[in-house]
Amino acid sequence: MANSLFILSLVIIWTMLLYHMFLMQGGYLHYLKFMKPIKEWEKNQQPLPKVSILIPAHNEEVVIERTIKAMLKLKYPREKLEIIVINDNSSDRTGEIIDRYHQQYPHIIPVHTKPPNAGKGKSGALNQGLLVSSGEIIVVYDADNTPESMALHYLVLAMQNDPKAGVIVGKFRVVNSKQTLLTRFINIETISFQWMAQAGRWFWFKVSTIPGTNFAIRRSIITELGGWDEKALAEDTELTIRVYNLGYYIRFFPAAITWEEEPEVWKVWWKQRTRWARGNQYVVLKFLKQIFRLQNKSIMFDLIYFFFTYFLFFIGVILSGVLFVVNSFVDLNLQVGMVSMVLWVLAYLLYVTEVMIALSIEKEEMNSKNLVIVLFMYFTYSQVWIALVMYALYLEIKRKIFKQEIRWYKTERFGSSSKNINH
Amino acid sequence: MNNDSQEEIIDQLDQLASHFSSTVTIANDTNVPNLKSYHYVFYVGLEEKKLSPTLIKALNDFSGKMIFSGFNIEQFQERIDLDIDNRVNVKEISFVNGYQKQALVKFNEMFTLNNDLAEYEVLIEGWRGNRSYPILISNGNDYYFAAKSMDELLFHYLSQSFYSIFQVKGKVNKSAFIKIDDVHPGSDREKLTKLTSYLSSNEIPIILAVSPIYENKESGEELHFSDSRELMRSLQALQKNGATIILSYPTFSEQMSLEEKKAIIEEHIQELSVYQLFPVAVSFSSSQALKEEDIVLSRSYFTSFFSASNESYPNQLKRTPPLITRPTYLDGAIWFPETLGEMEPFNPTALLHLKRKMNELQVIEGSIYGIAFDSYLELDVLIELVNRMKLITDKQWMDFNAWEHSVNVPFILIQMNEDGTLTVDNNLPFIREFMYKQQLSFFELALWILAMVVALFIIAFFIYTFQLKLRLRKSLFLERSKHGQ
Repeated sequence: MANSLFILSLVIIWTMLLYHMFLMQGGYLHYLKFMKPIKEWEKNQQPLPKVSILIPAHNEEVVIERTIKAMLKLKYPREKLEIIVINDNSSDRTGEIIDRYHQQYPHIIPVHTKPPNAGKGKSGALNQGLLVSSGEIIVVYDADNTPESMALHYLVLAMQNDPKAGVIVGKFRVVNSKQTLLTRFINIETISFQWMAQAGRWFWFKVSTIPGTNFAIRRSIITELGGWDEKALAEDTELTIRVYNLGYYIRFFPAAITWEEEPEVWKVWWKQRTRWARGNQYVVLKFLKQIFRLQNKSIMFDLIYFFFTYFLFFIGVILSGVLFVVNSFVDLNLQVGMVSMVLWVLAYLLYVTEVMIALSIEKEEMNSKNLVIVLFMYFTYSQVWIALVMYALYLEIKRKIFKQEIRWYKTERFGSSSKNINH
Repeated sequence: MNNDSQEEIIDQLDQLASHFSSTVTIANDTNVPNLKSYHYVFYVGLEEKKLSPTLIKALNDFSGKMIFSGFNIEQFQERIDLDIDNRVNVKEISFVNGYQKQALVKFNEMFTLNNDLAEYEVLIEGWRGNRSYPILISNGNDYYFAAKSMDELLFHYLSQSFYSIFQVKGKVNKSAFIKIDDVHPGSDREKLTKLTSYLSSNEIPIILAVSPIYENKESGEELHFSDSRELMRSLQALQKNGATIILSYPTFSEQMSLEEKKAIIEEHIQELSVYQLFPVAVSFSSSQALKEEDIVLSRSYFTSFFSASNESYPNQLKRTPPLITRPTYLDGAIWFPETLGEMEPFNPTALLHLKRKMNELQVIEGSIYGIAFDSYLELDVLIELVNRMKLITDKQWMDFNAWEHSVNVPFILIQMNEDGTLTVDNNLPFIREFMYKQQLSFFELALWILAMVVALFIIAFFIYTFQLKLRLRKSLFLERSKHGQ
């Protein structure tokens, strides 16, 4: 029995690790070639469409001004741009700040949500913004984002030159990466995630996930889909699947870069990530039931991948951990010998080298400090993440059993000064 | 009436006949085959009944020699004019014409005859006190065997009589073999070397019953020849110098299915072959519990068996024949019987039994003196045994190569030719060979392959990182040059 469980845990864990290894290979290859079409596209000189940027904001007084300033620096014809900032039921100075900028810059359009449409979360705010927008292309940024000046240009460039793409997704970086150890962890995590999961999946399967910010979607698509799902806890994942179901793909185009603030304290991080995990669990289970009815078969792999990530992987890790500890005291007669230790070491080395590649892609991130953090992240941050996923699953099960309402927790902002970013 | 005893007689007659003939058929008396091509027919009357006219005519018309046993002899008066009178229990038997009586282990029931036997030749007689009763008699052509069951001694006497029945002319030497039993990866190499060197120096053929796996019952540790390479090399050298390797039949638990047993036997043979040890027969140990399916299963792989008898064994192996034989119920396989059982130097009863057996076998021409000698026993015990066996008159050490033997499992065919050479057809896939040598299960092998693939990727990822660093340095350099730094 112990042997079977051990084998099961090995199979689960290594299925995930092999998939990530495969993805990283793809991510690296994508990095080598993603810039190549840009010259060609720029030569095409496709007409520039009108763009509506939607920025939902709820009590964002700490960061919203900086965000608006970054939007103003975007290299895109002003007459073809509207920046719609949705003040969603804020009790701080968010609305006031938006109004002030609107007075100076007419293309900054404030939307102050009112009941019954107020305070329904990000999806609700985006839908309110969509209502007043007029752009052919809708671009979404979170309230704490400072996109680079060419970000919008690249999102639109890709959208205009790739008709099969329903959504173009850019890359995001952590603006406050050096603030605390936690932000350093998150920085490494986001870089790795994007080059491994986003770039890798795009390279092999033409599949990407909308990350919630720094993405452009065709108006026609979002309208056809009826806007954002206000019930979803992770509206980006939900939207991803619905876009694929329409027959489009989501293109990962890391030339478009934005910088965003990440939680600096564990408590805030925990809340934020719990929300994401619960949201993804909700979406995965929702669409897993109809997996064979999905239009785009590639997204099936993604669903299975998410299922593994949010349900099976942590079970495998815990199972193997428990067996390892028990076997130290009681001989479970595990028949897998030295090879399991070798695989453990290789898993660690694989993780380190994968992260190293991702960091090496980003200028100045592959340094000795980050390397040390990477070496210890495996035993610290990664383990906390596993606990978080378990906690999220527990909450989701509780919600389902007791039929609780979904509540959206606002991520606390810190307004740390950004690094000297070349906007 | 004891049908079991009567039916055992059939097996025993089969064993004996199969020593003298390579074409033996067992038939039911309701379905008599065409007897034209046969030279000898044995009729065993298991129950008293009126026989069919067809049967009687067929046997009466048979031109060869007939050997009758049991009931219904009176229905064959055309061939042999005998009537069963009564029954008697005899305690001793002897050959006639001055041979010494020998005591049976227990009373043996036999039929008494109601005839004047002056015209008949009595070959074996049974004794009750001072009165004798004919057990095996002949009218010059046909024979009647009056015993209802067959004690081992009587079996031996009958064996000897078969030389007359089958008209074997000339002297037939006895044969002997010593099988070194229980050789496995946990065996003491030095002790084994002493035993085999002694046998070799006395020109005694070396037969080794080998198992590729040894499990230490206390620690649960499992040893394979990969853990005992020196011993393995010693066995290889012995084989090269003419020693015969045979497989120790694995010990199975009660619950094991036939499929599981099959898999284990095949793995054992394959694993031995991987270490260049090629078994040419199978050996059953007297301490094993055997079922009929074990015999059938073994027969599907081996053409030769080594076994002693054991009351707990299936009927086919319950009684050890005193001769090397290939009875029909073993489907043509050759049985090398361990007539002397197992050497137990510390068991006085066993030693007495050994002595008695050696005496009993003495009366039979061509008998086989086979014994299992455990590899953990000391050299002096072997010396004592060999010295005893040297006292057997008209004996030669068995030439195992005089027969052809073969072992056939998936991917491997082993044949021992009559000149003693081995022909091995080994098509075991490399992966399986690797798994045996490294003692890997399929799952472990898959994991090692996975580890290799992952290691390659890790190396590749290191290279990518290095390439990216170089690329970055190059782009930084170009940037600086561009900005005039």
